[in-house]
Amino acid sequence: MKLITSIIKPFKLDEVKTALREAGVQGMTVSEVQGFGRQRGHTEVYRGQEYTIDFVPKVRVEILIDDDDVERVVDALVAAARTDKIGDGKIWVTDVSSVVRIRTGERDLDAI
Amino acid sequence: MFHRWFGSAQVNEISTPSDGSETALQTFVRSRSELVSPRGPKTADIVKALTDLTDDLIRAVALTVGWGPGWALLAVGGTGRRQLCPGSDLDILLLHPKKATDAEVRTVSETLWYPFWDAGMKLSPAVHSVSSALDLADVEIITAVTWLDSRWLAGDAQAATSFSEAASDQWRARSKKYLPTLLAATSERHQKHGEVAFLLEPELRDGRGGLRDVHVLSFIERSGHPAVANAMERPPSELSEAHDVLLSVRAELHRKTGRPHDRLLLQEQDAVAEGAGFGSADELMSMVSAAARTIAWCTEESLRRLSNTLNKRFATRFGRPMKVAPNLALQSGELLLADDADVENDPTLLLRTAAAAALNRVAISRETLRAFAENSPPMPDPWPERARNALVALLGAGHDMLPVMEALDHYGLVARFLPEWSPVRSKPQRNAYHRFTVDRHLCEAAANAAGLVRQVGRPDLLLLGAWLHDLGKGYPGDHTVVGVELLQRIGPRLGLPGADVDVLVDLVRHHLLIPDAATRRDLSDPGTITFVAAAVKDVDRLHLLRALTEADSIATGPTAWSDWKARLCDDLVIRTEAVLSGHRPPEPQSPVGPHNNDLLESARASGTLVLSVDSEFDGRVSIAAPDRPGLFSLIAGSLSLHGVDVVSADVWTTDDALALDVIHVARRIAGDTDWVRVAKTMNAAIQGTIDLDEGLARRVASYTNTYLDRQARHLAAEPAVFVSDDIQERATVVEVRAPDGIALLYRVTRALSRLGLDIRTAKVTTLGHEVVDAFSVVRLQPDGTAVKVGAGEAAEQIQAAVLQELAMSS
Repeated sequence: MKLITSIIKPFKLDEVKTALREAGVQGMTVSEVQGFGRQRGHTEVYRGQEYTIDFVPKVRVEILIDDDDVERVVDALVAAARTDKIGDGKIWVTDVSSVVRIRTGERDLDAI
Repeated sequence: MFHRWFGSAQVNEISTPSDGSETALQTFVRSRSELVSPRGPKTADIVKALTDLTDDLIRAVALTVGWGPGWALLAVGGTGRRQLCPGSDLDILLLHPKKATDAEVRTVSETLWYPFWDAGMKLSPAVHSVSSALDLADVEIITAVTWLDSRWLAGDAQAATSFSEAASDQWRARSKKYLPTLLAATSERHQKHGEVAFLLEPELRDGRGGLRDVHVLSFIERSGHPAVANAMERPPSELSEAHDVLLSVRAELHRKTGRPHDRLLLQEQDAVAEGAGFGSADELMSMVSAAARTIAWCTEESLRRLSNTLNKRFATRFGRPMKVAPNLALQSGELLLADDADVENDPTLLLRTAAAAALNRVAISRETLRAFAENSPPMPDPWPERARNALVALLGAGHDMLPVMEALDHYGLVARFLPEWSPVRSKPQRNAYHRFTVDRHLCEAAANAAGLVRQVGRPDLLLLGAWLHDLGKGYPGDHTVVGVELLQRIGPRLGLPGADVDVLVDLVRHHLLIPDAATRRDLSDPGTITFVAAAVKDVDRLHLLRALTEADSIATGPTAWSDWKARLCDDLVIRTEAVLSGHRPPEPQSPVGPHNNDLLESARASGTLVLSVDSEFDGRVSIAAPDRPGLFSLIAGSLSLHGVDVVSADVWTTDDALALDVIHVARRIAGDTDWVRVAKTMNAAIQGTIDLDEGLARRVASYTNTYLDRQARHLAAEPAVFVSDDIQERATVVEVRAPDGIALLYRVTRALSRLGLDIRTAKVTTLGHEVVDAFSVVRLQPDGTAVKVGAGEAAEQIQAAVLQELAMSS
């Protein structure tokens, strides 16, 4: 089993959600996050006040999937989240040793 | 002796099966677990059934010990009140004679408690002699109130009764010590758990308007404090009905969840509604809300009066009614109608009373509320300006407005001036995003908006927009579409000019535009910004929508607003503003007309200031005078000295150095003012023969010496001053947003004059309790030419000077 974590632009969430659903992903965890990568922050002037946006708002999407599905799901994610501009985000895949569904106690692949 | 009392003969009958059948204890435990099971029998009164069963069970266990004199078993706390819910602990007190040995006490308690523990029941037992029980109550208020509801279950009945009496006597005797602690604990509890009536997931026991409040009322009543007896209103029968509704819902909640938790979560509401015999979850939540409102209403009045009595607040200084505002007086911390108030014929009085109460953080007396309920006339269509300003001032009071609005609503008075309010009253919103009922969400949004008024050019429209933006939720259909239709009717009725109604309608129409676009659209795409700019139309609306977004989101729930979302929204606003500021609204037209031409001519000829009161427009005064630095400040100061409040002002300078000021003052004042004397004062001030500062200082002192004015200085938002060289071609714009105050205009303009600035035009607006003043100023060079002030240090200097002046005058 793998955990796929992706950091995407907030407005891409709906498209990503649809793409993942079409790829057969059952559930996902979404959180509001802030950070920076190569995009860095930038400086804005608003009503005469200058302020630096050092952390850029992003959305983090986390999904648990079977090893066999990784390539297909990551491809779907990339296709949905890409705008070809700086700040599109990142995706990384990590190994997961065990999964439990809390309500039923089901384990591993049954719990995905 | 010991063995004779506590022999084990009866234990066998209770807890050991002799013939294979159930023991009495087993029967009780089984019946009890059937009763509290989520699929248990439908019982009209589960609390009563459970209490009776538990009493029987305790008595049966009590049979296993013999009871000597001075030994007794009492139900205390919730068990004593006969209010057991399935998750409640059993509160039991074992009373023993003072001389009993530790060994005796231990043996009896173990004999009594183990059957309960073995049966898996939650027991909170206490073991005391009479004196140790009373000593503990003396230092712990929780214990003191627990003993208040004690009742005999087994053993020495006389000892039990005399203990109960002693506990009540001690409560009465020490009430001076207990009651302040009880009040503090109650308000802390309310803070922590929120309101039962308005939260979509209410805490039934400890929330404001919850079950605990009814207990607290009863504790206070039983304190017998003489002043308290006067302060307490007799709890009406509706109070006990409301209590029973919450209690039965709580019992059903415990039963359905199998847990002792008292927060009625969304996910449980359907099951609880079904189990407690309500048609739907919405019906359940409406009943809960109505019951909690009744409890909160009874509690609030009693606690407030008690608190005033205990703190002697108002008692010494304001024993007699003190007049504090037109037609209003303050007595014992309550706002009442003064003798000259005319409820039946003054439709503005209700809202003026509400605004005064909210701004000064005092309650409206119940007699006054009843008088409004019985005699207040319907609001004329359109509303008088005074009524609209009072509504804006009420909303602008921030969270202090909530108890006032709640008091009005209790008497149906909100619906009287806004009939469209009724459909949203107590209306639940069944989703995981919102935390308040619709009516409270709207009031919370307005209260939040009060803290953001300095970010917008029209605080009045922001406050009205926030208060009305979800009104469509009371009707079928898309709430935004319905809301737009409602506001198209309500706006003109409020007496707003057409352009303002358009803004208000746009606020409702687009109240979700900024958060939706900011989180769902690509902000780096020019198309997004063009789209938003086209919908928003102008910078003023953009700022209003940005403030409304924040006020609305915070009023929605903890997940609806975050630093994350704020950044996205601000990013969108900055980009949209850049697009919109290319299209500035046209500059206002000069007010110079034939009438003013005469006035200007007269000033030019005489070289002095001349004043005329416009006969066609009530409350419009025109003033012409040779221009000089600080002229407008002297005019404003002279008006303040004569007690004339400026509602709005337009200032113009002609090319040949004459100044024309067109000033609107409150109509009521216009008729009572001796304008000839005002003009004399102005001329004297220009010639320097009177000292305005001194006269005004006296006036300010005589007005701010009251409790009310000192209280009124807590408003939610800090004053704000913007200075910009970019808005006008030939002058610097200074915009001041602040709460209204005595001689505010004079002080601000004096500060500008002292910096050597000449005021070329001024646009002064009073909106409810707020002023938004925009000045265009120039610095006069020695050679007589006028230049802009310049950005950077000069702008900061202006900002600092005006803010300092505002800090002194508030």
